[in-house]
Amino acid sequence: MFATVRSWLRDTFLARESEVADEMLFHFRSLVEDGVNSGQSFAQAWDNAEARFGSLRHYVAACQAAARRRQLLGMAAVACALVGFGVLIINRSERRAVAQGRTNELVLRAAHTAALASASKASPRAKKWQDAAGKIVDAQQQPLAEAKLLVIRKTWPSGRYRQEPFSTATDEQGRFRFVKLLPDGARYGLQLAAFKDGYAFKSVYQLSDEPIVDVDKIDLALAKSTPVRLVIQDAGGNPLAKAAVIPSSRKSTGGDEHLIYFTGAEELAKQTDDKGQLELNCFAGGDQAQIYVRPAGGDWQEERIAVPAQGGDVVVKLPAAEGK
Amino acid sequence: MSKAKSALPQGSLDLVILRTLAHGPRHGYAIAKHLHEVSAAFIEVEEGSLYPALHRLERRGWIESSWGASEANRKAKYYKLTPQGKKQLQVETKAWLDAARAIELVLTHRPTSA
Repeated sequence: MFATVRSWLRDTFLARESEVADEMLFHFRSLVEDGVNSGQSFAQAWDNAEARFGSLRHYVAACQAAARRRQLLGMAAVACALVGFGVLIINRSERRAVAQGRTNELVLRAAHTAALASASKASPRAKKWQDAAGKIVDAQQQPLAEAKLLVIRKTWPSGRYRQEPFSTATDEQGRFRFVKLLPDGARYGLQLAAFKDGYAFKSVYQLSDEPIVDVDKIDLALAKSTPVRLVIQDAGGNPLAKAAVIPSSRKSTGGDEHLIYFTGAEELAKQTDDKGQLELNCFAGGDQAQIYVRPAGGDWQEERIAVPAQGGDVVVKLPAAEGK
Repeated sequence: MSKAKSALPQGSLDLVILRTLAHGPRHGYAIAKHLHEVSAAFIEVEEGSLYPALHRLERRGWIESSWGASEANRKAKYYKLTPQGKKQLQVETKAWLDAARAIELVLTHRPTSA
């Protein structure tokens, strides 16, 4: 029967452009076969597969998007895929003498879905964008030049989450500006971290619907940091040379928490020397901190450290790799 | 098979697909099955979400497809991770861990009394 359906689909509707239908058919048939193998009757397995395979809306939209981009699969191919699927249902329904009304409903629903997808327009884009700007100063309110600003912009275009990194640095007056960063009138999330070696980094995070700061005036005062010397070791206590380290987060003794997202933060990476050591000068004494560590040739991993109140050495022993 | 689906957190479908393909080429059905099995049946990806995601990932160059023979020797479309996709997997994995950690901080945060 599957061969008959496939042949009919190909010969009648799909001709050379049958990839979409073939892929769909393979998946549908696999569902039925798995159902039969798990003890269901063929009819039960078919019903379950049909019920599961009900949501075509996203599939249709994606097929149409693919058609637009490739310019090889025209709208006819998508329509044919839908009609072919409907015919598949009709074929099966007729064979099993299932009520025609239900089949018609499914075909009509598919057609309606196709119409909806055709009518859908490109994802809405913000017509206006607003800047994110501010000033970074030290504890004495003196401007900090060349402080790095790492931003993560979160948006939800067409209901889909998107996360993008941006960075800049302050000017001589400690000012920074991200031009046209945030969509005006659309939902967004903003994570901004201010980083300068010798100062404890800070961050702010806000959602457009839960504003905390004015995005035109993100002013942060960074206090002097407490230098620590990290000693990175393997599980056996051997120093790890050329291990990369990126600060990740800090929680101060006062309970303030600040984050640096990994995405876009690799420019902050420092590397250990031959003794597995490096100076890290971005935490405050007493901080409970986290860092990303990547041993040479390995993957990034996250480690917690407690920053001594007066600074000094902090040994980070990495766990043994899996399977070793 | 139940129609009820466990909702994946928004934006995580691409990540779990890329991760699944890091184990080797698979067709769409095998991807859905793998996600169902390794997540202890928590993840039930609808076909209406899975295939658009696969098409999207392919357009972005993170995966590529080719037709081959399935386990039952039937024609099936296999997807595999590209080098660009491997890099993207690393990026998205870290981004996800960042977000998970941030959410954990929010959920476990206890305001200090004045």
